[in-house]
Amino acid sequence: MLNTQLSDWREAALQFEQQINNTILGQERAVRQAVIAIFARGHVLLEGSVGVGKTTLLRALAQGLGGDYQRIEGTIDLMPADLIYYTYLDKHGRPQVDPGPLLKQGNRLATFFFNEINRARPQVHSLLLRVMAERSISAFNQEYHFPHMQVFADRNRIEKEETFELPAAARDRFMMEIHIDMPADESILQDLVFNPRFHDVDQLIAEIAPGNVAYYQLNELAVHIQQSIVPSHALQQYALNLWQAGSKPMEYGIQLSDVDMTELIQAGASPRGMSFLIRAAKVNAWLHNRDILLPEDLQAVFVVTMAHRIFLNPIYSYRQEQLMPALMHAILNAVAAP
Amino acid sequence: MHFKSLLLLLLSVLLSSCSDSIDRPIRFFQVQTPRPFGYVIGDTIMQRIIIETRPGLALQKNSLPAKGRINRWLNLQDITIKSVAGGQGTRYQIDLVYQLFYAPLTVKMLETPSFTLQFHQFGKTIAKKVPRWHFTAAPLRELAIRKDAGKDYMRPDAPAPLIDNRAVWIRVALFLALACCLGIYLAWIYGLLRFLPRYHIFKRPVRQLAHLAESDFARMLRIMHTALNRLNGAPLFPHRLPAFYQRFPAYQQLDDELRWFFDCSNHYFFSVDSKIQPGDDAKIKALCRHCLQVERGMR
Repeated sequence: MLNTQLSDWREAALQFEQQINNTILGQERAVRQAVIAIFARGHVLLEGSVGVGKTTLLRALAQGLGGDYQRIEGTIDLMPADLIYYTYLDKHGRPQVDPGPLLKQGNRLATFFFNEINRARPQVHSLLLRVMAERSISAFNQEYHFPHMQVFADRNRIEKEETFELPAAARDRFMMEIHIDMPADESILQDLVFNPRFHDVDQLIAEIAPGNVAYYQLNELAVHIQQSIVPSHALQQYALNLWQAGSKPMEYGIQLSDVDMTELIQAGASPRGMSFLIRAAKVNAWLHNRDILLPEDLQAVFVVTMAHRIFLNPIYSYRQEQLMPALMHAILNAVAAP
Repeated sequence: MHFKSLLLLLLSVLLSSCSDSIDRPIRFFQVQTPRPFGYVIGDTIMQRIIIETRPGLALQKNSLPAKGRINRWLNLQDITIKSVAGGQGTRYQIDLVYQLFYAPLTVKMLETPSFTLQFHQFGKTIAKKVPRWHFTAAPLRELAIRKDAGKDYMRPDAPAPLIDNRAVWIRVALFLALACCLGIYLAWIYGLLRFLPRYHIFKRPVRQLAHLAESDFARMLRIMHTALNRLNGAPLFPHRLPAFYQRFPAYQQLDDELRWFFDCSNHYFFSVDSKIQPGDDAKIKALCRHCLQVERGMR
């Protein structure tokens, strides 16, 4: 792929981002992160309060990408088989087996949205592990492949009853965990509440022109983006230092209030997590029309790619929401480059 | 008649030449003393001896009493000898200062010791005795305890008035303050005030950069990065410059130079092609100097 084609793709990506921002107001940061995940071909976990626009954002992304879209609601009685097939009696009274949400569109499936993933049982989570890692599944004695599938899952952080925390392995397979917060700007809130355009979500989503970024070309494009940007030795060292600081923060002079830093971290980020960080950072550099990877690219995606894959000691887990952002901020302020 | 007159004149001349007043070795001797009464313990008594001798007669100074203790209650504190030679001879003025350490219970007659002064001329020694001098010493304490009168036996002396030394102390304080100010200024100039973190950051980097050439470009960049990171208190990156200027507004004037520096550093460290332009090293040194000037408020 030529550099001019990469440049054309970047223009398309920025237009795509602009379209989403016109639909989802006040979420520029989250939209940019989602766009990065799409072009880095990573799965995304969304977290936020109820009604802040998580689902609308995902529908808007799916509409903009084109391709087929499937959605499933996580419930406590959802079983893995429910994703693969469903059975029913047809009009002749005979039992029928039809493909479930995962198999229905075959390899045309581009966006799979798992709503309220933490309400599903661990069995469902483990099925999802393979789907996310290998983009394939075994069913009806054959392999099904979903080369273009990207999983978006969301969980709300308000309710904790009847929920199952995602296992570490499942969380690690998500490239990013994006937090969706309520917009702080009053004029945006006013617009969202009083402008009838935002009352009908279906119509709002339909305004987005589909296929602006062709989903079936994304894999090839992502490979070219990753190949076109080569990190220097100094940047590799910076990334390794960030990684080390996430595992052994005390060695970088990081101290959080009321925390024994030697006990804080149970497990740092995995190598897979670091590769996600670099992939996302390269896309960020590409979106900024750069062919060199800078520390600020890593910083731009560090929190969303790292925070959900660093595991705190259980004695500090009840302060996770306070400690993790502070730890991320401290790491970025402790590691210098070069 | 004339003959008689001449004989009388000759006789008188001869008689006058036989007079001892011409050959007398000590022509004048006087001991001058103060009042001979009313001395108490600790008082000093000055005795002055005035002697006029014939020319050439030299006083033997070792014939004077030695300075120091004369006896149990009398010390010779000082001896001063002045001599003036003239045509008529030599005039000596000898001042002796005695101090009394006698504490009598009643008024008591005491005396300074007698001694003999010796003079020397043509191998002959001439002696002149200085006589004793009597004086009375009085007790310092009252003779009778008068407790019945409701008075203390001894009353303390009035405190001696202190010499006014305020002017001296003011001058001392002023010069000390001036010395302190100069010391602080010198310490600031030489970057020794480590406890003032904002005011010593760029001093050392300027010196380090001055010794580096273009071949040490990576080191130059690292030195500058380290200095900026220290100032910022955290690693400074180009996208954090606006926040940096909010904390350190004085560095806003170096915005162009700082942005050039970060751009140059990014290309050097993070691009595959780490080329440097001629003069880049001088620009980094200039930036560091400008930062030092800002740090010292000279810009």
